[in-house]
Amino acid sequence: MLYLFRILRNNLFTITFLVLFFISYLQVLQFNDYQQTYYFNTSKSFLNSWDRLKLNVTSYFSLTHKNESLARENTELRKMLAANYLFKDGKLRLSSDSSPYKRYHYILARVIKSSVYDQNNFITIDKGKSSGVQKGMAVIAPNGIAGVVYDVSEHFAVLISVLNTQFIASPMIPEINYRAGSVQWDGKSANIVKLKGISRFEKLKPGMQVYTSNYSTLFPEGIQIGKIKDFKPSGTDNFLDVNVELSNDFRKMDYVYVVHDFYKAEIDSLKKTEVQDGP
Amino acid sequence: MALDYIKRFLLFIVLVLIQFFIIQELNFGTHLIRPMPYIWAILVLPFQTNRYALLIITFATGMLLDIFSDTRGMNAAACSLLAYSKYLADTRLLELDVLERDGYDYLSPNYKGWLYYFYYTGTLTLIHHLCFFVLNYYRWSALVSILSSAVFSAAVSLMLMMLIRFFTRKY
Repeated sequence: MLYLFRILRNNLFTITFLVLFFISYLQVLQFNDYQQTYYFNTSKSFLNSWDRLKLNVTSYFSLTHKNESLARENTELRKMLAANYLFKDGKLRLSSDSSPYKRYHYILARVIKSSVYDQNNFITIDKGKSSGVQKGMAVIAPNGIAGVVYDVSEHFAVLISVLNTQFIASPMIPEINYRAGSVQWDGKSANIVKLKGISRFEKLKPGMQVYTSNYSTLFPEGIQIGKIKDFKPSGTDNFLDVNVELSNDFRKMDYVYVVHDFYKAEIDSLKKTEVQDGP
Repeated sequence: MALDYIKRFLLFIVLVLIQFFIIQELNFGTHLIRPMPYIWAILVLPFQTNRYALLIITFATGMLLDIFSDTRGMNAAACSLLAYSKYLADTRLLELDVLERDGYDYLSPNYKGWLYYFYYTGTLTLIHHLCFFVLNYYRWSALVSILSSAVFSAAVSLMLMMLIRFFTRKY
C-alpha cells in the first residue's frame, strides 16, 4: 500500500496531466452522442453578446455581397408573383388565402457566428425559443440549404451546419428524375459536399442541379443544394463518387430562414407507427 | 516581478483574442491550413514555472479558446499535451543550469543556434497541432488529412510565431 502511494506521489505530475487530458478528451467524445447538448448551454448568453458585437463590426465589410444575394432572391420571388401570370379563361381562379393548407412558415434569423474550418462546424443564429425555433427544424439561406437546428436557448439557437460530418440530407436531381442516396460533407473543402449512394449507371453530367428531395421531411422540397462538379467511379463498389459544389457560401452567410413545418409532428408520428408495425 | 506577471498575462489574453478574432477568420484557401500561434504564450513560459501551474495555465487557455470557438476540448487536450511535452523537453533536453546562468528564462536562438531553436519550437508546435487535428478529424480514414493539416498548419504557425517573437522579444 505504501509502495502504491509512493508510485502515485512520484508520478503525480504525469497523473495530473493524464486527468486533464482525459477531461478534455471526454468533451470531444461528448459530441458523438448526437442528442447531447451540455456544452452549448453553458455560457452562450455571455458569449453571444461578444459575437454580436463582432458581427456589428464585420458585417459592414460584406454589405455588397449581401445586397446582391438578397436582390437575387427578390427577383426569384418576384417571378413567382401571381401578377406575372395570365389567366385567359375565367375558370381558373387564384385564391390568395391558402392559410388552412399552409405547410411551411419561415422565421427570419441572422447568423451571428459561423465556423467553416472545423470538422464539425456550427452556426449560431439570433432567434430562439421565444421566436418559435425548435430543435430539429431545417434552416435555409437565400442561396441554398444551411443546416439543422441542434440546440435552442431562449433567444439563440445553434445549428449543425451542412459543413458538419454529422449532417445528412436527401438529394434529388430533377433532370434524371433521381431521388435516393444522401448528401454528406467529407470535411475537406468549405464549398464541396459528397453525394453518396448514387449508382454507377445513372447518367450524370457535371453542372446538373441538385435539390432537396421530397422524400425527406427535414427540408421542404426543391431547395437548392448545389450543382454537380465532377464524379468518378468509387472503385470498391458500384457507386459513384460525386462532388457537389454548394450554392451557398458558408463564409458569407448573414440572413437565414428557419423552416417551421406545421405537419412535421403528424408525419413523424406516422413514421413511428410504421416502424412499430413493421416486420 | 509583478510587472512581469502582468505582461505575461496580457500576452496570453492578447494572443487568445488574436487567435479568436483574426486567425480563425482568415481564409487560407484550404482546410489544411489552420494555424494556432497562440501557443507562443505557452512556449515562452519560464523554465522556473511550477510544473503543476504550467499544466493548469495551459489547460485553462485551451479551455477558454474552446468555449469561444465551439471546438469542445480539442484545444484544451492539445495544450495540456503541449505543456507536458514542454516540461519533458525542458528537463531532459536542455541544460537548464547553463541557460539560467546566462539569464534566459525561455529558449533563445543564442543558446545553440537557430537550427536547434527551430527543432525545439517546431517539434512542440507539431505535437500540439497533431493532437488537435487528431481530435478534430477523429476518424482514421482521414489520416492523410490529419498529417498534412498538422504539418502545413505547424509551418504557418511557426512563421506567425516568429513574427510575434519579433515584436515581443527580450533576447
